[in-house]
Amino acid sequence: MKMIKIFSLLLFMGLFFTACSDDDPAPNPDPNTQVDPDPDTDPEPDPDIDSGYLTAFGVDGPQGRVIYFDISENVPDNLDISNALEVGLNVRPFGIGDNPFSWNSNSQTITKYEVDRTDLSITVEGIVSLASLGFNSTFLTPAVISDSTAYFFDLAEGVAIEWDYENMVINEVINTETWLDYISGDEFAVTIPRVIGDKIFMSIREYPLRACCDIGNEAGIDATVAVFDTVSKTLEYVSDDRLMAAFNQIRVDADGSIYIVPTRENAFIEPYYDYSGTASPHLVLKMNQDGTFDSNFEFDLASVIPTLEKIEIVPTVLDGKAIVQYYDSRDVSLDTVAFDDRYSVPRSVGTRSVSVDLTTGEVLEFTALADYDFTDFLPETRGELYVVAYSQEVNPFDVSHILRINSFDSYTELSAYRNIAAQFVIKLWGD
Amino acid sequence: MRITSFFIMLPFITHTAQSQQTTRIEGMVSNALGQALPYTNVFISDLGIGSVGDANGYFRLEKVPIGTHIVTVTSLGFKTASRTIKVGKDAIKGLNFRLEEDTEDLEEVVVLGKSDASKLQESAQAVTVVTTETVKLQTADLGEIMAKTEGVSVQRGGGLGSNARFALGGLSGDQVRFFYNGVPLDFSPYAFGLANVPVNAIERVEVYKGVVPIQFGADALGGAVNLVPPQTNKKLGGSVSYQTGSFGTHRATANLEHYNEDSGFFASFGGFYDYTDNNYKIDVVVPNELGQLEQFEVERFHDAYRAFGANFTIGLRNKKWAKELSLEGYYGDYDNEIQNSQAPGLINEPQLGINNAVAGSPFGEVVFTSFSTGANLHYNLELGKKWAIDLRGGYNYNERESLDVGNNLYNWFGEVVRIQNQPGEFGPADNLITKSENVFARQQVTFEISKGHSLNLSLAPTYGLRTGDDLLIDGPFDPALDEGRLFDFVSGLEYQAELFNEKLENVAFVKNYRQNVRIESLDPSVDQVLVDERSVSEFGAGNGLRYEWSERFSTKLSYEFAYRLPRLDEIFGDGQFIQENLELRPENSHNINLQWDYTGRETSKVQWQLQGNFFLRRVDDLIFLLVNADEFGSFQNVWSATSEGVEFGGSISNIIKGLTLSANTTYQDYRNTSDTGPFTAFRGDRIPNVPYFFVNGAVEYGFESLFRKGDDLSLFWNLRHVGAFFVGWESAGLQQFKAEVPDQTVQNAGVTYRMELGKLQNSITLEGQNLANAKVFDFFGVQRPGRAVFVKLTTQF
Repeated sequence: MKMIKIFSLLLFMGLFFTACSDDDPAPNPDPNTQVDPDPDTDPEPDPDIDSGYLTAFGVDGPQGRVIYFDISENVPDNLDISNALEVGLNVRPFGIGDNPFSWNSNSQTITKYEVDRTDLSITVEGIVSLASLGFNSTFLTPAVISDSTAYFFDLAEGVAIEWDYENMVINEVINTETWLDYISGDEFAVTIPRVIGDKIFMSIREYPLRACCDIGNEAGIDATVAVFDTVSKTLEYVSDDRLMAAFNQIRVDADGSIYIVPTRENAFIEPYYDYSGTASPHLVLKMNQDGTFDSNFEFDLASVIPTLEKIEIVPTVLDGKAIVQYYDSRDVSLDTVAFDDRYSVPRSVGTRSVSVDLTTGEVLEFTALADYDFTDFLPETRGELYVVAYSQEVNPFDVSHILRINSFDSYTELSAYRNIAAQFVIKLWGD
Repeated sequence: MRITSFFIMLPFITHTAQSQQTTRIEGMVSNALGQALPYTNVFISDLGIGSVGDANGYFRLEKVPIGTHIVTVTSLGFKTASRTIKVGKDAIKGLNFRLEEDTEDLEEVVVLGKSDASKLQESAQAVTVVTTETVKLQTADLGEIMAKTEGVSVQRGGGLGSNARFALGGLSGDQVRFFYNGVPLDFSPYAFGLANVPVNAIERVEVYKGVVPIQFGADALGGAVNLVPPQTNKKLGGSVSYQTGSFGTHRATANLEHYNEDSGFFASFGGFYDYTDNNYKIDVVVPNELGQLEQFEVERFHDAYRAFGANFTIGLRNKKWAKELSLEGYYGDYDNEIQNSQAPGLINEPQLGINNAVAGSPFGEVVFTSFSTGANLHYNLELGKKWAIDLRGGYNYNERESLDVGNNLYNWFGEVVRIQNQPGEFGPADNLITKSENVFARQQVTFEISKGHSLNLSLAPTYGLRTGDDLLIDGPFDPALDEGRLFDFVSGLEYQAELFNEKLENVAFVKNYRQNVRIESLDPSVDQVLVDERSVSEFGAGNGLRYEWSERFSTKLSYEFAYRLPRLDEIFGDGQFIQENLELRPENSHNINLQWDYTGRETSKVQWQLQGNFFLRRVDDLIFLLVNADEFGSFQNVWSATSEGVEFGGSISNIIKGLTLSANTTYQDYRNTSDTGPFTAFRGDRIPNVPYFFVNGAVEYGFESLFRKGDDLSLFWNLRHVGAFFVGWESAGLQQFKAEVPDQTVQNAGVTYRMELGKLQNSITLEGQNLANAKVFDFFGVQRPGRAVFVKLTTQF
C-alpha cells in the first residue's frame, strides 16, 4: 500500500513538472507574409493594375465599430467584406501618396501599409508610436507638407510632431504654445489641418460645451485659428472677435481662398450659456495666406437666410459659393428646446440646404444632396473629390453612399452600402 | 427520508435525559474526500444517546454523562466508524469523523439524506450547484472556480480585483443577475463583482441557466447566480483563512458563529481583507525617441487592489412566531488602481519583431474606489403545515468614485516621460462620484395544496435612486447631479407538483415585469427641473420538468420566456451624445434546457457520474448603442441572436483508491439572427468577442493517514482550455489579418494537507497557478497573470 502511495506521489510530481515546463508554442508564421506556393513556375509577374482605390468602412458589432480597408481598381459599388483588411477598433484611416495608413488610438500607433499593384494584396510596412507623447485622441489627421514629411499637432499639449512617413520615424518634436490651459470639464480639438503654402491652418473647436452655463473661458469664445509656419517651425494663434468659436471649420476654395465657416455648436451659445460678447454665431470669415484674418471680409449667413436657426454644416465652398445645411426657425426654435435636447430635437425635424454666393449674397435652393441626411466632404485625393453621405431608412446610419463630385452642384453616386459605414476614399495610384 | 433516520434514532433519542452530570459533543462527518455527509446517525450505544446529523454533516449529542464512551457514526454506503473519548465537564467540540465507502453488500442500501445542494441539483430547476467545501482550501478565486463550471464563461481583465465578464450560454452583462443568499448582490458587502468575492465566505454557488425561479424576482435574460453563505448552526464555530503568494497577494477571511439551540438565538460575524500588487509580467512595446517600437517584458506597476469588508447577522430561530427572524448588516470597501484601459491596443507583427505586445500608454495614477453598506431583514414563518411565509427586505447605499486627474504620462517602466498640460490618463480628466440608494423587498408565500402540490407567490419590488457629482464641474448645472429613479417590480406565481412517487417534479410559473423610471434634471435654458418618465409591463412564463427514470438516471426539461428591463442610461441617454429613447423595449429571450444526469451504481467501488445539457436561447430586441455618422446616437432594440450549445461533464472516483478524475466541456454556437439593423449583413455569424469552446479537466489524488492517523493529503491538478475567438465578425475581413483572442490553456496544480489538532481542523495548501507560464488573454490585448505560487492556511472549528 505504501508503495502505491509513493508511486502515485512520484507520478503526480512528474505530471506537475511536465506541466511546469515552458510550452510556449512555436512562433507563428508571419501572418502578413504571402508565400508563393511554387515560385519557379511563375516567372512572369502580373502586370500592374491601372488604378488603386482604398475604401475604408466601419462595421458595427456588439463590441463597437471595427474598421476595414478594401483595395479595388475602382471605388467598389459592392463591398466584399470577407476579403477586406481588418484594421481594428477605434481606428482612423488616412492615405498619403500610394500608401494607406491607420491611426489606432488604443495602441497609439500609426501603421503604414503597402499595396501590391499586381494583385492588390496589402502588407504592413511599418509602425510608428506616439505613445511617449501622450497622443490618444481618436481624431488624428496629418498635415502633409512634402513627399516624406507630415505634421501632427496636439495643441492642448503644445506639441507639433514632424513625421517622416516614408521611413516611419519621428523627425522632431517641436514644443509650441499651448492652446489655453485646461478648461475644467471641457475638451477642445482642432479640425482637419489644411496646408496652404508653407503654412498649416487649424481651426480651434471648443468641444463639446457639455456643461451649462458658464462658458468657461471667455478668451476661447472668439474664432481662433492656429497657424504653423513650416519654415520657421513656429506656431501662432490668431483670433477674430466677429465670430464665435464653438465650432468653426476651414474651407479652401479652388482659387486658394481660405474661409472660416460656422458649424453646429455656435448656435448653442446664446440660448444656453452666459455670454455677454458681441460675436456672431453665423458669420463666414476669410483668412489671408499669411495667416491673418481678412478684416475686410465678413458674410452673415443669417442676413441672407432670415429663418436661419442653427447652422448644421457648411460642407464646402467652391467658386465663392457655399453650401449651407441648416435648421430653419420655421421648423424648430432653440428657445423652446431644453438643454438636454439641444441636439436631438433639431435632428428630429431635419435640415434644409441652400447655396449661398458669398460675393453677391444670392441664395438658391440646393437639392443636389437632398436625398442624404448627412454629408462628409473628403479631402482631395489625386485630383478627385468625394463625398461620403448617409441616408436614414429604418435606423440611422442605415445606408452610406460614396459620391464623386463633378462640380459644385453635380454629384455622381458610385455606391450605396447598407449597414456599412463608408468613411474614406483614397486614390492610391492611377491617372 | 429524514423521517426514516429519525425513527432509526428514536430509541437513542428517548434515552438522553438519564444522567445528572452531562455535557455536549459536537462534530462533523465527511467522506474520504472531506465532503460533508448529510444526515448521518451518531450515537453512543451504551447510553442510548443519539442524534441525526444535519444536511451539512454537523452533529451534536446532548447531555452526555461524564466518563469514557464510544461514539459511533453510521451512514448507509459507508463503513461504520467509532471513536473512544473521555468526556469531562466541558463540552467536546470538533469531534470529526471521516467515513470510508463500504463497497461490500450494499445492494439494499438506500440513501436516506441529501444535502441542500443535492436536493437543489436534483430539483426541476435548471441549476448547477458548485460547492466550495474543497476548493475553499485552495487558492483560486471565485472567478476561476466559476470558470471551471460547464456552461459558464468568465473573462477577466487582469488579476485579482479586475473586471470580469460573466456569461451563461453566451449572454452576459445585465443579462445575468447575481444574488447573495437570495437577494441582489448589490445588497451585500460584495456589490462590486462576483469574481472577487472571497471563496471562504461562500458555501455554495447556484448557477441558474436561463430559467430563473420566481423567488429571485429577477429580470434575468441569461440566468442568475446565487451565492449562498454557510448557515449558522454551531454553538460556537468559526474559521480563519490566510493566503499569500505571488504579486504581493494577501487574502484573509475570518468568521465566528454562535447558535443557542435552547433559546434559538444565533449570531455570526465575518470579515475579509484582500490586497494585491498585481505586478505580474506582461509583454509590451515601448517607443524610442524616433517612435520605433521595441518589445520588453515588464511588471505592471499600477494595478494594486485592496478590499475589505465585514458583515454580521443576529437572529432567532425556531420560535412559534418565527421560524427565523434575522438582521444582517454589512460594509464593503474597494480601492482599485487602474493600469490600462479595457482595450490597451495589442500589436502582433512578427515580421517587425513584435509578438502580441501591448502598445498603448499605461496609466500611473488612475484610481477607482467604491463602498457599499446596508442592512437586510429576514422573517420566515410556517403557519401550520400548509402555509409558509418568507419576507426579506433591505436598504443599501453605495458610492463609486473615479479619479483620473493626473498630469503625468508614464511609460511601461513606470517612469514619468512627460508632464502633460491636460490632466487625465483615461481621457479627459475625470473625477466623478456616483451615488446609489436602493431598497428591496422579497415576499414569498407558499401554500401546500396537498401532499406534493404547492403554490408559491412571489412579489419582488426594488427601488433605486441614482445621482452623483462631477467634481470637475462647478455650479448646479452638472449632468451628474441629475436624479434618476427606477422602480422594478417582478412578481411571479408558481405551481409545483411531485407525482408518481416523486419520480416526476414539475414547476410551472408566470412572471410579470413592471418598471417605472423617472429622471429629474435641472434645465439651464428655462432654469427649472425637467422630468422624464416612463413605465413598461411585460409578462413571461416558464416550466421546469424533472423525471427520474431510475435512481441513477434522470432528465430535466425547462423553458422560460424571460425579459431584461433596460437600465436608466439606456432609456434616458447622457444628455449629450446619447439621446433618450423612451420607446426602448425590454430585451426578451426564449430559453430552453434539456439536462440529463447518470450516476454509477452506488454499490460499486468505483463511483462515477455523467451529466449533460443541451441549451437554446433565442434572444430578441437586444439593445445596442447605435451611433450616427456625426457621433450622436441612442440605445435601440436592433438585434437578435440564437445561442445553442451542449455541455458535457463527468467524474469518476476510486479507479485507484483515492483518485478522482473529472472533466467537462462546453460548446456554444451563439449567432447573429438580425433581420434589421446594423448587424443584418452578418446574419449567421458568430457573435464576436465571445468565447465558444471551453474544456476543463481535473485530477485529485488523496492519501489518508499519510503522516499521522486522521490526516490526509490531496494532490490536485486542473486544466482549463478556451478556444480562440475573433474580436470582430467572423465573416468580415481576411482571416490572417483579423484580431483574435488566441487559444489559451492554463494549468494549475497543488497539494493540500489537512490535519486535526484537538478541536481545530487545519489545512495548508501550496498551489501553482498557470504552471506553464502561458501567455493568456481573456480580452483582446489584456494579458492575464503568468506563473504564480500561493500558500493558503485554513483553520475551522
